[in-house]
Amino acid sequence: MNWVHPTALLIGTWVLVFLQSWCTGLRLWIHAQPELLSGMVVYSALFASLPTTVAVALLAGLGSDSLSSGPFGLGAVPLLLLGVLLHRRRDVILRDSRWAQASIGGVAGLCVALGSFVLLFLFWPLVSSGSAAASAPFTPEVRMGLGDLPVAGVGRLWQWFVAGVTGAVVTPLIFRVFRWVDATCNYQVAPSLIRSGDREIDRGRF
Amino acid sequence: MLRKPHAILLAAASLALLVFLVLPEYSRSRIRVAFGTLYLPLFTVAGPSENAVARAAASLTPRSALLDRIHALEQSNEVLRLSVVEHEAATRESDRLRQMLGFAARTSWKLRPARVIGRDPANWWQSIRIDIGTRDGITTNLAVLTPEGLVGRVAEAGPWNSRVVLVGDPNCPVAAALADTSETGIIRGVSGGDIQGSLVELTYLPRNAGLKPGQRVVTSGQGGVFPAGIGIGDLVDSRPAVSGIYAEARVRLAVNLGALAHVWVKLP
Repeated sequence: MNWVHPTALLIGTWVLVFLQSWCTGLRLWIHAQPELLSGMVVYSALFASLPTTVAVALLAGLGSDSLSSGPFGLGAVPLLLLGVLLHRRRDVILRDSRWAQASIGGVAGLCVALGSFVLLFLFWPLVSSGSAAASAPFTPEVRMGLGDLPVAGVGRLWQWFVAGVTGAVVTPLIFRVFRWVDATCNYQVAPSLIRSGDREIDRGRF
Repeated sequence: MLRKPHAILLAAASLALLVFLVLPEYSRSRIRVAFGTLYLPLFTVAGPSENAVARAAASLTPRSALLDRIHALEQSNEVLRLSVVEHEAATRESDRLRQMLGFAARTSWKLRPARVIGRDPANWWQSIRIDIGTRDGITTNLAVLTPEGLVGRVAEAGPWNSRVVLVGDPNCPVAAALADTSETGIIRGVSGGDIQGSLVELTYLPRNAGLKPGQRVVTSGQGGVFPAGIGIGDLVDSRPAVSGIYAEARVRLAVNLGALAHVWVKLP
């Protein structure tokens, strides 16, 4: 492992955060935000070190929050939890099959979207108390910082569905791109000259 | 078990996030703007590339279509010029009457155009990013609009770009009024969520307001941010609130907030 792979992951995360904000065509069409960042965290957790995974989760969460109206820092929490949990269990997670990658990506996208929503409601007293809403003069429009909680309703179910589906679609692509980057820029394992598959004795059942 | 350096790393990351969450709004806003400048190079590159694509697409348009478009624009321009002449006469008359009655002189709006360069990456909030900031005279709480109607207000102004919260976002309540009866209420997001983002709710209306579908809703000017008379949308339906004290109505926004490309910021 050299420095190229972690750097590529951080640059990839930076670009994906920008794309989430800039590419509005699909969002306009499906009326929900595609979830791209969870796939990045899943890949980091399964193939990179824990410090790299934490850096990717923080960059993704804080970057996304810096372009959003939500409380700054809250978006990084579900991504960080996801990254750490997957990294801790990565030895028992299937990661080479496309279906496995899509499944993990789909579940991760859904969990991040749900987690963000749950955390927002749980932490609301903490994050909204720091705002100047209470001390602002009482006119309906002049309010600094966070006003009310976002409206929860049936429409959110569609957004969570989209987050799961886009996570499932994007994660295998991210795996493919960054495995290629890793294979291109990293030292490769030298093929064994001693043992070769075609010289093994095929044994039957008995 | 986590190794000690990893445990320290996770503790430091968690502590940093906790500090971000409990910071006062002003400090949080400064950090957010500073972090957002990380994406400035990408937004700067994206603008010209979008324009180049648009120019390339325009170069493929047939000449006859362009001539038809020029003809339509010339006609529209003539109508607008006549309308301006009519409004100038009305303004002169209004100013003369104001002077006779001793009212303060009416000030004309100073508007600045801006390009929409990004949208809120989260599902729960509705905001856009525009390509002008404090260097262009933008401050927080300025009204943002299009010729069709109200868009929102500037929530955060950085040096090079600004974040605008849209009508219907929890952070952008609007003091509104019915254009024909002048009954006032407050615009906020629709209960239960609206997937398309084209509906908002007008609340705190008097129960006997005489609400009818199709009524025009405009800003009332009583909220401290938006000047009076900017169109918001048309009333769709109404019902009494659960408490029974006031009435609520759904309003279809005049502006398609999902397809904004250019907006105008009203300068003070």
